[in-house]
Amino acid sequence: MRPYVFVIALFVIYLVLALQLGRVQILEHDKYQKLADRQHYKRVEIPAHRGSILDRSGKILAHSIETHSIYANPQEIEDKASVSEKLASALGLDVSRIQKVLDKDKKFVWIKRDVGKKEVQAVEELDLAGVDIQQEGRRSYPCGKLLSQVLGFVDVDGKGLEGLELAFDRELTGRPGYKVVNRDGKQRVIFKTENPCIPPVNGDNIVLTVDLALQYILEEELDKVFEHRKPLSATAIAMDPATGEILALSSRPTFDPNFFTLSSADQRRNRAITDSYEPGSVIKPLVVSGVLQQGLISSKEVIFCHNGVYQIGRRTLRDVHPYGNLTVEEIVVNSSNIGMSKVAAKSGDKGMYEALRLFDLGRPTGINLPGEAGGMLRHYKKWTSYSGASIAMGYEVTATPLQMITAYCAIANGGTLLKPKIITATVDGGDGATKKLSERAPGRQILARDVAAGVMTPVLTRVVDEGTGKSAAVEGYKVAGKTGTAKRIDTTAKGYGNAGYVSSFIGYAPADKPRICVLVMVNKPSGGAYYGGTVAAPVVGEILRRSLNHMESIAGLSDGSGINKKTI
Amino acid sequence: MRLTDPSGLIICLVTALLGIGVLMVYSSDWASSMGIKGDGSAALIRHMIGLLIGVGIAVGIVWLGYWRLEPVIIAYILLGLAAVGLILVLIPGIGSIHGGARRWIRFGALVGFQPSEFAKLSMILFLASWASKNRDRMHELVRGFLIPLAAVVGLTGLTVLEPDFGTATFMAILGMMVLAVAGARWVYMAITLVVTAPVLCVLVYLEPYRMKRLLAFMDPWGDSSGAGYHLIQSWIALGSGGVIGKGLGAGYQKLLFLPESSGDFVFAVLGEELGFLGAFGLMMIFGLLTWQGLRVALMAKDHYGRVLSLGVTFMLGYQAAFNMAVALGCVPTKGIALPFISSGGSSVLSSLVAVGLLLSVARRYESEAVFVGRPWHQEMRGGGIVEPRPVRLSLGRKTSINRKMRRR
Repeated sequence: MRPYVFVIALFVIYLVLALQLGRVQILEHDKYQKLADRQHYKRVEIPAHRGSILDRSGKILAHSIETHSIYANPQEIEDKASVSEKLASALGLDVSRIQKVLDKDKKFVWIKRDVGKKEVQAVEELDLAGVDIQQEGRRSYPCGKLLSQVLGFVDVDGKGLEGLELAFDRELTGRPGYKVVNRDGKQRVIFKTENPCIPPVNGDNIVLTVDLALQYILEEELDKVFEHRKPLSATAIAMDPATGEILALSSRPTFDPNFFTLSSADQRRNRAITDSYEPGSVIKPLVVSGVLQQGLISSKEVIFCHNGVYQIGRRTLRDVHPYGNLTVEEIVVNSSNIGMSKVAAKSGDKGMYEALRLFDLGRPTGINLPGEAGGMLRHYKKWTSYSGASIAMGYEVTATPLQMITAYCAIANGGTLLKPKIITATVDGGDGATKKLSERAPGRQILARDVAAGVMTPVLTRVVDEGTGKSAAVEGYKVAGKTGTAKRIDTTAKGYGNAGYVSSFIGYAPADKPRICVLVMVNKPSGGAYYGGTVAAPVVGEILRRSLNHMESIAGLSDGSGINKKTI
Repeated sequence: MRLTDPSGLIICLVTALLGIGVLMVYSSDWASSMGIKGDGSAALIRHMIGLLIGVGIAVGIVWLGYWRLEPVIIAYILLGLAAVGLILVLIPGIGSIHGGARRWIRFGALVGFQPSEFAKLSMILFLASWASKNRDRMHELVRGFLIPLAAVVGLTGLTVLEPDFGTATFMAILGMMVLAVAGARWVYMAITLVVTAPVLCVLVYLEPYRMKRLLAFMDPWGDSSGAGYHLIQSWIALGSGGVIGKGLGAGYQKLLFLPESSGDFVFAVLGEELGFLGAFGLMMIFGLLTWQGLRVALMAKDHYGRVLSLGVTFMLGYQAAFNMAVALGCVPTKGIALPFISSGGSSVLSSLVAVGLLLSVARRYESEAVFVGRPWHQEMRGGGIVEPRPVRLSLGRKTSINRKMRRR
């Protein structure tokens, strides 16, 4: 009887084990399959190639170069001391520093980023467990400082931090792919099989409106004035008035995005869009065209300018040169403050406000760049009795250089306010399809052709021909433009003390059929000269001259006959 | 011998188990040996050496006859040798440390020997011999229980010192079962159990690692990367195998996820590669083997042969169950090998010696049955056929087998 007891007991045990076996293998199969997959397979990311940034003709402004980085999993390294020693000699690093990194309680640490081929080979030859090489993309900006503030830069992980790199980070980054690798119980990758592998979708290329040649010209001229006048900062923009495309844009001081860590925030600032200034006299054409458009005044109306000194309330206005009777046109040509204050008085606060609202002042232009400021234009109900006169002269209102040039382009192109554009297209990183971005934004007709082309352009031409902007003249072209000299607000004392001036000029050429509009703004030039006509206008003239020459030669080259003429 | 005879079936079943064992050892140890030593065949060679020696010894036993081991003096010698082996393994320099315990006596890199495997067999042989010699006095306290118990306790105690708590526990249970079938009284065993239970608890409590293992067994997920790791990896292997498995050689858990994938956890590898069908099939094979062992025991007409065949049958059947229970998480993790299958050499060797003893018993009585045409118990039932050879039938009164035979 006894043997049966033990045999039956054993069979009962087998039955219980079989039930447990069934539970684990059949009922809980899915659960354990999931756990098994999790520890057997590892998704390894295949980084996507970050897209390039190109100028309008396809020249490279920013691109990514394949490079390698060395990383380690400290938990897989047994003899940390010897591994650190070997790595140190292979990579030319400090032993104690590597040791310190390896002592961290982490599964992933970088040993060295962006290493050369020799170092990669050296580490490969060491063949250390837990140390591996990762392919990466290093961002490179072949044009150095050119357009740096617009382009921005990326961090060491390839993430956009500023400028277009930040604004279009998603498009540029693409989507990383992944492959699945098998791991063994010690977390080592053991063999590759026909595991699922999703290739990465490379980032899109971005095609800018910027013309590298014009950008070079503009920056060279900007450098000259920055060197010569030693201002706090300087900004220049070139725009195509017909389309609103930015052809060139830069600020000083500047930096090289290849070495962005060496730069200061001040150098990286894209002042053309982030800083708003009181524009000074350059606002006068906007005010006048605005009130003309509203029919509040006529361009030929004669206004007495009090021979240079005029009292409004407790304030005394002065003109640089005393004037008697001037027409509204002549007030702009001569940039008479007294005349403008009387225009403002005639138009009324609401008229003045509406005039500037036409140009969207006080509102960001909506350009595809991060950190754009919108300037300030207070509602007329909040104005004081002096506000109208102040605003007519370009004070109590602020605008970014980009807003100002955009407004001027509306005058230049016959009255259409366009949205400024920096990007024309993106080229899909996957299939190479070009996608045009916002097929020429329609723009808004804000001024009648009569006002813009009929009155304002001739007036602005006279500014350059006979008024304050003579030094912006370009031989062989009719240039239209306006100077500005604004007192800077003294932030230490209240009001406008001796904080210097903002000298600016905005001009376009050829006046009757403008191809390019250029703004130059010099913030607090030193060394005596501060008039916009003296400091900024010659720079605009030079940029216009060289740019137009360049455009002519390009047009001539593309036109069959031109080749012969130029080359022979 | 016919295929339906116990010996024929036992040979078939054991051959199947050995075949599965060789396959699983090759499959499960290949990857880990490759990863660690760069030589994938070391474990397999060791296993094959153990297997061949085991087959040789088994054939020798069948050839010579198990009854040559019956004299008590031989049993004492075997017992002594087992004790010496267990003491030697404790001496540093002789016993080699594996997993924190001295369980092996190694000769060179390839050949090793686990004294506790030998001790199990010696214990069964001694108890059988003792029971046979004292078959009329097995119900007594001293002769029938305490003296044989002393041998069991001695071997078990030495095994605990290695430390090999699992094997020691198993040996103690096995010893009690053999005593039970040899005719010792239930009451004594019940009292022993009551007395030793607290001792076991204290032993577990005193060793922190045992306590930790016990806690991990209760809640493996609480420390899934520490003490619970082994069990969870075993479950993952079995669970991911599903009903039909991943295919022979296609298991993944043996790639250093499972500890001792070719040894104590070879059942998990088998379950992963051959699925529920394979693992359940293996259980069935061990079940059938146990059944055939019982048939042999019932056939045996001498007390020594009967106790011996039951002892080795329990050793194989219960050890397989113990090993599977560990892999399934039904008992705390212990280093108990799966007979015939786990790698290492010693285990397959001792399992084959056990089978040799079983076959020897079977052959003795089968040959008599063949002589008269039918197995003896059927003849008894049919009545009338005279025993061809005198076999001592006047066995101890208390043994169950005798009682049954008398009823018939």
